[in-house]
Amino acid sequence: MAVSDGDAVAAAQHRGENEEVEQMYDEHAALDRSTVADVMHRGIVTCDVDSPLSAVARMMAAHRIHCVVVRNDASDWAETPGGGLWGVVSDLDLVRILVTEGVLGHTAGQSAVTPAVTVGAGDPVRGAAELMAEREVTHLVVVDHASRPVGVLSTLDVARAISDLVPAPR
Amino acid sequence: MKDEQLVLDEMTVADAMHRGVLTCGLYAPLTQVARTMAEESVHCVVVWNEPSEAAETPLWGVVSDLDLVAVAASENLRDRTAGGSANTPVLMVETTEPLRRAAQMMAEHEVSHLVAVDPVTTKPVGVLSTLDIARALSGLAEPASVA
Repeated sequence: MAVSDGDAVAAAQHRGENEEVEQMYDEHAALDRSTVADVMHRGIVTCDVDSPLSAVARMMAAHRIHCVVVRNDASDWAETPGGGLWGVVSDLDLVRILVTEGVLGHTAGQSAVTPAVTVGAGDPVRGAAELMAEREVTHLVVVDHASRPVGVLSTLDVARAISDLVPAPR
Repeated sequence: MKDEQLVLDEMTVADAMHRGVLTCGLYAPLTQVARTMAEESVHCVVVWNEPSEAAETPLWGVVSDLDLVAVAASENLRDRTAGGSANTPVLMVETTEPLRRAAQMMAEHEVSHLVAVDPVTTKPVGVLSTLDIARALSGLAEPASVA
């Protein structure tokens, strides 16, 4: 497409505005380009189905994490792709049980009412954000190509990905 | 070993909360809120109303991490302000209330953060999260084990 000098002048006059629009689209696309693996936290904190809920509370406090992944059994993730994933106990699950029946005497398996929503490590961050919003969960279990859990993506990781796209205020 | 019922009744919100509240203005860009969350590792930012004589309480709303992510999933963040994205109900609890009351509010309203206010001045002085409650419970041990 040919651009006349007149157009070029007009574009120069609105340069600031246009640059902003361009950057906006870049930012929009950047969340599609960056993958879950780029921004997630590697490694997961797990417990067994039979672990006492009080131990889960200690794990949350010690690691400052809002969810603990519950494993079906002690088997190696590598040997049971996907199958070993039972659920997730969130800190809100813990508080719910605390005010109703009490934590003591409960196991992680009885308390894992938050579904373990999984996302692929290679998926775009925007897709992961959509999944969080749709399922109303703040944490996704990240799985590799063989459905093995490899990390956790939290809403704060997405917040970091967003803030990395925007120049820091001077 | 502590009894969990004792923890809930004897500890107050002030004992377990994090002091200080991270705030932003009503018209702050949502991207700035994202930066605050990422840098400070907080899941909610309190949105203040513009200072005005008429405003009895300047507390306007709360932007949660899930509010932010919901916007990021579907729309252009640049167009959005903190005030326009604050979809989390503002639940306040007085610092002198027992932890049990706070835990009940969280469970009932399905929120993981409460804004803790001073009972005298009614000003926000901190935030109590579900993780703070987990920490308060971390001294608990099952009867069978020795902690």
